[in-house]
Amino acid sequence: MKKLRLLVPAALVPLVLASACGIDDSGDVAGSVNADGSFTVDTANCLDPAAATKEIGDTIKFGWSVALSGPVAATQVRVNNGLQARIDHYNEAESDIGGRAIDFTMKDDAYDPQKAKQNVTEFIERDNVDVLGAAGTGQLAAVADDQNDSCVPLLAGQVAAPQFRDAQTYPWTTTYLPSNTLEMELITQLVTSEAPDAKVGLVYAQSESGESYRTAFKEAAEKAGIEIVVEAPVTTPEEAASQVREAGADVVFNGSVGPDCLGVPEAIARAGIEPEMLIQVSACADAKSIYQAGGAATDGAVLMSWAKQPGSADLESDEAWQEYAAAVTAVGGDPNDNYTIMGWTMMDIVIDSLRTADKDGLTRENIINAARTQTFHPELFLDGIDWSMEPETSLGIAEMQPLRWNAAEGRFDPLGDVLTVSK
Amino acid sequence: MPASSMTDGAPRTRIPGVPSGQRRHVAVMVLVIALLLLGSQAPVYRVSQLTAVFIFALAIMGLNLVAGYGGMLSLGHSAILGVGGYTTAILINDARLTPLSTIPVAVVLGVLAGALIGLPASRVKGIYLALVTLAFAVSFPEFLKRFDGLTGGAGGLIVRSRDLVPPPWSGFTRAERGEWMYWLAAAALLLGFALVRSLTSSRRGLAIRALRDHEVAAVACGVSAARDRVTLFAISGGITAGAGALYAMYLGALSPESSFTVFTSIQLITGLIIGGVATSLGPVIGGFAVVFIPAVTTELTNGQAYGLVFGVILAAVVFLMPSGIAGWLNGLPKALSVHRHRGTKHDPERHDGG
Repeated sequence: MKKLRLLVPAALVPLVLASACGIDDSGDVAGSVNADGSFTVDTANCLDPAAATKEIGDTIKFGWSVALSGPVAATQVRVNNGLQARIDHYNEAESDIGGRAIDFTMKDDAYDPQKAKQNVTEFIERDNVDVLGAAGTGQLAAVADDQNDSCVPLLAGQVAAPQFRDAQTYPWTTTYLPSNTLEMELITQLVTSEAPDAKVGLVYAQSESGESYRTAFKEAAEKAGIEIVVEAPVTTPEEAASQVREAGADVVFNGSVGPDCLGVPEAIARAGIEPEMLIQVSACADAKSIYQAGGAATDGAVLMSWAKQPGSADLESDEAWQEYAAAVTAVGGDPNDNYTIMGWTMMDIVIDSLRTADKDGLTRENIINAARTQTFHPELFLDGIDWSMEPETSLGIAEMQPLRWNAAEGRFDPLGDVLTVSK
Repeated sequence: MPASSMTDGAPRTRIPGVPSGQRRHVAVMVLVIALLLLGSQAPVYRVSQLTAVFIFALAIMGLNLVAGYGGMLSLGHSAILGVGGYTTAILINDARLTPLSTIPVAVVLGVLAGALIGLPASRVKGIYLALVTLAFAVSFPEFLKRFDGLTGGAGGLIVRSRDLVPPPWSGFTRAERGEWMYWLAAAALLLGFALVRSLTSSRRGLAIRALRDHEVAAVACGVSAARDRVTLFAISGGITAGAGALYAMYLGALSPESSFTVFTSIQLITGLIIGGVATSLGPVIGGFAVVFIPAVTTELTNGQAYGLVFGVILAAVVFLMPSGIAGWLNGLPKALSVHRHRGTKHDPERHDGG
């Protein structure tokens, strides 16, 4: 034990002495917004500045780290079908980025940040990919710094967390999912117009996403002067519904995802509550597994959307939808799946930013400069809603259409006009 | 690695004044350094994987102390790993301390957390102790979410790469952070190895193993079961928390829902079983298993294959090598010797003297 007593301090003391100072907080300048509104990323800080400005050859390499196994794989695979189908459609029918083909690789991270880091390190160091993708806040957090230091664009990350929208902190990263803050602001706009004196029951999941929705909704409600009469955690849907009933809420906001997208509306119906409005988050958009399965419990449920919804009658004559449906069917996916639609539109946006970048020569630098100021209307977005990026806000989606589920017809109907976030 | 170090199940016989032991130690050190140098020359992504191996090996080494040498199954080591990780992340982000200077603090808090988790070990054993420690693993993510002002809550914590740059005296630049982490993790693993060797070969180590194998006899000989078990948990906690601190520096992102859950505990236990319980090399082999089995299966085929391959390997190891890969390797010279001996006995030509 003598040796042991000596060993520990002998190891620890030099560590402390060698690094007792604090961190140098002088930051790097990541990029600048030009007078014409365009964005110029600073490549001087890249680990390999020459690679960032080198023209990409005949093949554009994409590397996506996503869950193909583990608890979220069942949902993520449906998104992946949309991603793959859009790539296949480009390679087979378009190839209009200087005639280049896209080599698309997905690696399984099982929704684990450590595996995501391994995947992205391999993509950057071994595979020399030109564009990266990732899904999940924890996964993106684990890879964003390495990816930014390496100056490889990570486009349309499947993440809603607001911190990755900061172009100065993460100049080489863009994200696709609308921020919860934005969505909650639009929901409170809707509540104010449709139910001005609403008493809102806020139901939330005790999870990362649930807490995020809860915080964002409370802030937006406070700004809009909306009264929240109860905050009910989903310990069980029945318990949450019971609290909502006791508080006398006439509008229910369900800020939970996954099985509770359906579980909460069903519990509310079972508790005999008939709210003036039942509002779901946009992540609960899957018509088949939630609303058709919910029957009367989900009839009239409201959510915000920016993409076309399966089941709409006008889709039969929609050429873009037909192309999408054929491509998704070819990869074995279901065109009527909302997650697949999301995957397709994400990749649609990525491909468009590459087209824009190619006008000045397809380099990683031009790709991210184009992506940070991109304005584009993906054909599967609803009319009147564009993908619009500005370096200051990097919102992408700043408008949404309220939709109401029509159980009798088995489809979503528009509820009022497209709502826009206040500047 | 000295051959004697791999036969940790039985007390070793010390023969003072024999220089061959020292020569063997030097040879092993030279071999280890040569292997580390070889590893550092691998492509960057492989160096990153090896860094993860060292970190997990260190965490498993901590678990091996209590589960292997102490015979107490702990499912709470994910929480201790998290204590180390979050301590480092919080001290870097909020106190603006350099990453290295956070490690001793993480280790001290890990010792305290280990002692806390180990307290029940003085009263309960076996499956009951496993269940009590499981409670720590289950409640740790909830604890993180509850104290969101400090821990970032459900959203977790991000440590920026610019805060994780190697110290100037190391000679590594910001671009060489991966290589710096490789050597830091390797040094920590070697230090942990020396610490565990020192402990298990000491009188206290003998007492701990005696408690595991013959508690009544050990107590009758004057061993304090409660004190030694809590102490063992505390030391184990310090080692595992050190691994947690390195994990935070390596990954730069911590989340209560994905970083330190019960699944992490199961991962550590699985690595230990595959590597070899109560062996010196077991944790290192376990670290390789935890990192490389998913990586290799992902390269072979995407999808659910990882879980299947991991399960098959675990089942195969348990059936074919119940003492783990290191345990099997330990027994190999003896098995070969017995085989050779039998061969000699039954070989008529040799009986005849050739």
